[in-house]
Amino acid sequence: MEAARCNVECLSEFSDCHSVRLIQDDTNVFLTSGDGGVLIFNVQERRVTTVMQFEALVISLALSEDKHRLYALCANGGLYCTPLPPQLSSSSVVMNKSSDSVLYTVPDDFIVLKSFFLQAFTIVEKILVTLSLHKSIWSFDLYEEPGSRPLHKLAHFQVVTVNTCCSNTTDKEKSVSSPPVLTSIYPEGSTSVSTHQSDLHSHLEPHLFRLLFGVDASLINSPVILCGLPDGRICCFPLLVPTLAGPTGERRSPVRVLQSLEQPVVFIGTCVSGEHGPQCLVAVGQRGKLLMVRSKQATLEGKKADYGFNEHSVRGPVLCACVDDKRLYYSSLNDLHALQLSTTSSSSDTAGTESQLRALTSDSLGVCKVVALSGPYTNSTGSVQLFAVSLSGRLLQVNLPHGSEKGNVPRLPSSVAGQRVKDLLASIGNIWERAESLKHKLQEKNESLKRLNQVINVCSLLLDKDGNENECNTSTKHPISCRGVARWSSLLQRDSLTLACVLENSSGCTLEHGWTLCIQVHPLSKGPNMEASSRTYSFPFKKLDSGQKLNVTIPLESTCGLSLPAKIYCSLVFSLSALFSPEASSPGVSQLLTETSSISAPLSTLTVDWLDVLRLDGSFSHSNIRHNTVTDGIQAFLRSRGALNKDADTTTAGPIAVTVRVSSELLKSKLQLSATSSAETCMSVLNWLVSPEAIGQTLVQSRVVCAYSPDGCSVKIMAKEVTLGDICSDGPLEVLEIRVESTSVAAVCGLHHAILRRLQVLLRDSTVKCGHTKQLKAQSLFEAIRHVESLYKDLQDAQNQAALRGTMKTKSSEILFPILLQLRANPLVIL
Amino acid sequence: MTVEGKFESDEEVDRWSEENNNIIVTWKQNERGLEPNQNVRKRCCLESLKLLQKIQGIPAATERLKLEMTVSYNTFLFSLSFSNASEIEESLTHSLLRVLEAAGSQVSSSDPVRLWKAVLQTFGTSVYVPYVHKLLLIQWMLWLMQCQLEKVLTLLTQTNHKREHSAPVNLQTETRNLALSMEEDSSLMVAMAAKDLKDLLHICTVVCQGVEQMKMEKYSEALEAFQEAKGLPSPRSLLAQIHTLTGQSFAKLGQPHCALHFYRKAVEVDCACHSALYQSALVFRQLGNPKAEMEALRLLYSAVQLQSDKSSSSTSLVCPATLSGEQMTFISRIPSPSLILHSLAHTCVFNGSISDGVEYYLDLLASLQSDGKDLILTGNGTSLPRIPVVYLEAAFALLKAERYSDALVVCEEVITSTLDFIPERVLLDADEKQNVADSDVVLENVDFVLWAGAAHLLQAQAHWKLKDTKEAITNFTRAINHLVKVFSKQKDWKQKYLGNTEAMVERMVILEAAKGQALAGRGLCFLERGQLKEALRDLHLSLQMTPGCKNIKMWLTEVLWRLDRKEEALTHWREADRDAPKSVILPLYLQLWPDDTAFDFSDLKKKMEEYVQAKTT
Repeated sequence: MEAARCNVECLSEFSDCHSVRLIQDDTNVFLTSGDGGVLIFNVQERRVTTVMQFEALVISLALSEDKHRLYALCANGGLYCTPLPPQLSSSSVVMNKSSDSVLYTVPDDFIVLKSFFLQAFTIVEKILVTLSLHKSIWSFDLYEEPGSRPLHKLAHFQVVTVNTCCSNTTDKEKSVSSPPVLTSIYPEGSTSVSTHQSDLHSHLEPHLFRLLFGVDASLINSPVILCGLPDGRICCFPLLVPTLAGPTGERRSPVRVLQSLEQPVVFIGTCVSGEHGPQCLVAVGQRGKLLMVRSKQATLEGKKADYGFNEHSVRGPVLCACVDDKRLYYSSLNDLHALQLSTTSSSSDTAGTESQLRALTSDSLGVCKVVALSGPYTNSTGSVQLFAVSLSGRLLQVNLPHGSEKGNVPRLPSSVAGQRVKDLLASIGNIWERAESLKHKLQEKNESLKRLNQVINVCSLLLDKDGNENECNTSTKHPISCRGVARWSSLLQRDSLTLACVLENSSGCTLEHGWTLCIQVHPLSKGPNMEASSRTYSFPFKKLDSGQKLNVTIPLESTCGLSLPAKIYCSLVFSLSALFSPEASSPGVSQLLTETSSISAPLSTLTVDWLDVLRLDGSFSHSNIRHNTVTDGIQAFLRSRGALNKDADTTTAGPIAVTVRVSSELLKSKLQLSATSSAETCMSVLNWLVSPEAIGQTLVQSRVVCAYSPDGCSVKIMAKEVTLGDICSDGPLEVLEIRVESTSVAAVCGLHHAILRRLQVLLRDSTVKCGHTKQLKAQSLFEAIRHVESLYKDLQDAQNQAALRGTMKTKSSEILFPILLQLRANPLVIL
Repeated sequence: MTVEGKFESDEEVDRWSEENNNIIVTWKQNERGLEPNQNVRKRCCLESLKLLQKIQGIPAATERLKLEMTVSYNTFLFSLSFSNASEIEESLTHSLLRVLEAAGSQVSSSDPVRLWKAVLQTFGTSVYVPYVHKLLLIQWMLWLMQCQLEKVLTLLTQTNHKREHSAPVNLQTETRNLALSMEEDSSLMVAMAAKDLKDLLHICTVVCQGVEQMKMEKYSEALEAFQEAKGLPSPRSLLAQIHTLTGQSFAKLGQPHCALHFYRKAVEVDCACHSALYQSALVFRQLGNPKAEMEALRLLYSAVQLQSDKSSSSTSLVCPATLSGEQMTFISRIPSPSLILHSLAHTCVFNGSISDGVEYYLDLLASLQSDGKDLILTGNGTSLPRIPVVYLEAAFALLKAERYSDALVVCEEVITSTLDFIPERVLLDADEKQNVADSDVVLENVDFVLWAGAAHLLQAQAHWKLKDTKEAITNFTRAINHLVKVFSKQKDWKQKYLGNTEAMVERMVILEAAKGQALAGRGLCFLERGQLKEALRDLHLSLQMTPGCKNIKMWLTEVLWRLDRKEEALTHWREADRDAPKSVILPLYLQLWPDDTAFDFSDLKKKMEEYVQAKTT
């Protein structure tokens, strides 16, 4: 029903609470929590400002007349009277000083009354009215409100004892399950009341008040205490009227039983505003019995004016209820209902029943599991609000719809009804669509999160490995690894150098769609005609399950030729856009991604050097040689024409050789060679140099490796053991001499560099210490140093000359080249 | 226990003794002030209780026995004003059990009488006797508060066990001969010295006995007891109470002047003794001395008002009033201020001091409207009349004080409030079996009719006094219409039938009187307007309702004279002189013509005498 739809705001959430009391003053809501606390919730600030901690579960709450003190009845039988914290009592002052809620522990000293038989209490006109149950007798006691006086000076006044009619059941249990309800009702228009506390007490129009509660109470405007007992009886007695003599002079108990609901009373209040105030007394029973008391006007025939009881029933159980001037709000466990109570007093019986039946159609407000209600209040904007506490401990603010009186419009015409049905169906369709799209979005989000989680997993796997970047070979222990080997392959009669890379996923997780293997080739040296720097090859893949491998091959030669040595950087890249599935309907977050938004995780770094790319004898086809000889021929031709001046110098000088000397003992220990003969050692060392990945195999069967460099020049690498007598002081030193010979300077240089680099890596990486340091002969060291110094001097001269003469290239290279050769030909021994 | 342990225990005893003494010092300092602070009292009580709990937290032992008993004594005295007697008695029983435990004797029963027997036997002559006797005083006090004098007697007899049981057991002699060990230990301070408490208990016991005798209507025996009590030293307030009680006994014995003498003594001893004032007012009423009664009530009212302004917290540790049991408080209770005010106002109006009465009634109405808190405090059996009656009385007073418009307003209140309750007719049928509830309803309905009728009657009177005879006639008619709604099946309802209760008869009499007054009033109005026939009819009817009323007869004579029916006039004239008016006790608000002096009949008298003379001559 459109009219009854209300707007619910959850103000705050507390712990679960089953028996909740809720009262409200101007700015604060007081509610009990399960563990003996009273939470004071400021509605304006929307937070709990104060927590008052009592020693036991709080059963019932009330504010004093001046709202400066809070009374609380606890389960331990103590009635506490505690002053409210100052910032609460001065309600108008907004305190922004502290944002934290304050905890007050209420000590024993604040107990004003202690009795285990106390069941309920209320404070009216500065009189504390308590109701206690002892030995199946209910007794009301009236005390002067303690106020600031510490001693509870009780003007004790035992009003009456009423025998409970069903005393066979244990009263204690019954009363615990549904405590009695105490309400005070004033006659409307009593001057002392209307000023400041009209919100706390109910009023009733004077006529009905007089009829119900007698002439005496009405004449002196005494409030009347109404009490709904758990056995269903509704008792009443006027508060300020003395015990009056009965008609025959005897003393009468002022307590009168008004009616019995025959089920526990949940609520008593007044409702249906008329000209002179509320016209109807309402009582609600736990099982849904609704009692309405209205006055019957005196008719013209002179019949005495009377009041009438109307009983109705609503669907129970009723947990709590409240009223405003037209409606009764009550909460069954499933829903909060608003019940329109008829304004017409039943003048004639037949018309009355009909109108009341119509009146008893309740509107569902669609708020379930409300266990306590307070209100309703009209706020500044004119909307009506209820405060409710749900079973799960939420404080709810229920904003009632504005013109909901129209909810009682009896019946719609059929045409309008059809339209209404259509509208409703349409709105159902709309809601279904919305729900569907929301579901879809949710799925997408979950999917993305799953992917993101996987990506983060993979990244953390990759980050786990520490920075051994150089050796791709040793990275087998990592779950995701990339290795590469340079190979010659011939395609279309042309030999080309390629790098075969293997990405192996030995981790537990799958590399999903979105990952890309990126291989960057970055030449280390920069020749004059090799401006083009690094090239990147990327291989996006669909999926790489755990245990699978991905083989890729990239060319090492670029259009500008081969540049060696080159560094190869392997990395896994994830593009963030892959997080969002391509079929995602809305652009969503993915539109915020820039082009480059990706995650890049480095895998491994390898170096391809001259040694890697050597073509050993017999490992290539003849066509290639021919091809090479052709190029040789062309080069020779060009050389003869003088086009290639620079090369001409180098090639004509015959094969160039460089040597590297390493202490064979060192090498053996580093490479862990078991060979004893010098020949074997040499072969092993050559094998290690030429094909490092196959160290067990013996590609090389002699001390000399003949191979071709990538540019087709033949290269010889020789190894032999030499005994040097003049270096070491403690005898001759076994030295392995590696000699590279080639006609091409580039090849020689490249190989020399490569061999040195490998030795360097070998010596740096391994931690094996040599057995003892050799005593070197100072003589030979001096010679070596002097030699190097002279070479350095020559080099400086050449530089100076070059600097003075400008760009006479040929000349300078002529000078420099012999220096280079001399430097390389006479190496120092690596020990 | 090892030496070390004993040493520790000694230290503990010292520490706790010091704590106890500190509490007592704080208490006494507070009490020395003019207005003792209740907070301090409460704190002392709590601290003492905590100390006791600490001491009782460890097993009872003889080393700590003195300390424990002293702290128990103090705690019980403190908690007198904070908890009820049964709670204290429970704690006392617990303490006794611990005392026995320390002494090593086991008593399974927790019956206080047996416990005391065991305790007194165990500690017969030991050093602990003063402390045991302190607790005994507490027990005495508790039983006295509950008026269990037999138990007190048993206890005291047990204490005096040294003496032979030859003489018949008598509480008075036992109390008189009580030998308690009253030595005080300066290291263990007490809130009230045992001797003081014993003296107080002694006198209270005597008074309580006297009150018991009063309840049994043995006033001379009661007087004996009070006489003995007066011989004992006692606080002022208690002495005043004793004087009041003596006075009450004398009043009951039919010696009002003796009673007044003792009431005066009581007020002389303690000016705050309100019950003496109230009782003397009652005696003055009995003696028919309205001036003195009004004076007493006036004093009482101002005294009560003064007291309610002050904080009425009890000033002493052990209040004698609570000690003397509930009965004495019941006997010496005074009505609530509202009730006193009503008595005062009623007496004033009744005795003709109208202007004072009006003021008191207006005060009463105001206090009823603003806060009826003091209404709740009920008096001793007397209660305020129903509120409409109070209103009617106030209206009557206003009418008498010639504040007619005010009277009209007050009556209007009664009329509107009773309007809804007025039934179409009320049939008083004593033949049919009516249960009590039904007859109550009927009586209440009669009351409503009566009130409404009386209100209209008073309004009509006010209009008549304002010379608005038309309005007066309307209201008289209304009053009559209301009042005739009640009728009885029996013709002679004034006789007491089996079912005709006294209340019903009383109401019927009042109703008839009211009817008669209304008819008479209307008749007079008609007479004033010159409608002689109507006047004659009404006055005739009125005379039927209230036979023997001299005023009506006189008016009837006047009407008949004017109608020139002189013979008839003469007959009535003679009757009026002859018949003495029948006295009927009417409510205050219907006593419009209390005596014959209400109207001036000198003209008529002259006329009639002339006529008689003319006839005879």
